[in-house]
Amino acid sequence: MSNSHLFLPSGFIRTPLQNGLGRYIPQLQRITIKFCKSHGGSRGVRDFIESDLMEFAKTNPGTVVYLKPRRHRSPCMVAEYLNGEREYLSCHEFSRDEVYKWLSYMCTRSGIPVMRFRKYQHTDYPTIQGVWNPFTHQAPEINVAEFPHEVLSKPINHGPTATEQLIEIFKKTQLEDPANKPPN
Amino acid sequence: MALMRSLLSKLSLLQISPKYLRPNGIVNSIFSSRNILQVETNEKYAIRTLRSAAFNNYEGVKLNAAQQTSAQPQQEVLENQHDFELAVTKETITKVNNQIEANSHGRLFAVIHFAGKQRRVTDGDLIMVEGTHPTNVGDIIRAEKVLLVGSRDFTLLGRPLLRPDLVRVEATVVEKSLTHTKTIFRNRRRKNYMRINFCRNHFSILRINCVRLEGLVDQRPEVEGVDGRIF
Repeated sequence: MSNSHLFLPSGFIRTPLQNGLGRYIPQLQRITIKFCKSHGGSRGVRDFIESDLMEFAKTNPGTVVYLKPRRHRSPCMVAEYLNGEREYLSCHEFSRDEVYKWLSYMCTRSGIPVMRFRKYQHTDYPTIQGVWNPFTHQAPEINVAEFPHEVLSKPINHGPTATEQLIEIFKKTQLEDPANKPPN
Repeated sequence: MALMRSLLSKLSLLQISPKYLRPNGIVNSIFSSRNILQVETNEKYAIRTLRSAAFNNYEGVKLNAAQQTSAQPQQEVLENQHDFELAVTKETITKVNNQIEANSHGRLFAVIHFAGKQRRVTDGDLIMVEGTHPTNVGDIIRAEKVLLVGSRDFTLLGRPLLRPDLVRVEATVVEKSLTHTKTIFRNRRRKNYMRINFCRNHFSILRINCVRLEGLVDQRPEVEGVDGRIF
């Protein structure tokens, strides 16, 4: 993060209009490619239009493609989406492959503005088996027990420690040995 | 403590032989419960309390029981519980299969291993896959590494994966895009080294279309692991 990210919008992943629940609907509504017929900055765009644009239009029947030649201005593409969003991209001095790449990017987007994602998954059903709590899978007798309880109120006994066992063994040997018997 | 004493006296009344009592007084759970099925509710409650107390390793129970069984030899006879466990397992599987057949298990969730991460998914979820992914938008793909399927009443765990003909998880790719511009700033102090780069990573968003059980539990086909293969 840097200062340029201070006002970066953040949010959760979503799709417009529950896209993909029944079938997938391409979200790119129309794309306008503006270019110059003579300037060198538009050369890649012109190459793309000559060789690849027809196939692009055929494979994306849901998208309207507009071409807008204009004199002596740098090329750009403007994508408009079904949710009303509009994205502008300057294509100045792009190669043919770059134009293809950015066009694919525009085509596969959903139109939701670029943002920082706070979570990488979204669910409407956060739990199905219930949220765990400390009483999950516990014996139900605890519910009717009255406190202070003879057993439940005691701390958990983990058995004698090694030190305690040693002390016990030592005391036993002390008792067995008559020489060490206390005088009284 | 008084409750435990009354319980132990009741146990003697019921003539449960001492072999069901371990030397430390913990009742061998399954067989004791079998013999006591006929007794009234009060005693059932007492038995349950003793069992839960014994499982929780309470000192009070231990002490009391040790007095009762101190005369017994320090041995225990464990019955062969295999048949009983088998019966319980079969009953459980039947119950799960009944739910699957009647489609009464309700909403399912699954834990799938997808693109290097384990994700918990249910119908209608959106998951984000970081990095480049070969699928295109609109493609429907099937998650084949399903580690777990759970419903309200049961959970099926794979070891490590569930059979592909048992569970089906399908997803649609709904978006392929780039993240926001991330700044990568590297600096080594006192070394006159400073680099600043900007990058946008690829990501895909997947919509989970279905988490579905298609087969029955514990009914395996004769030949496994060959679906989708051409010989």
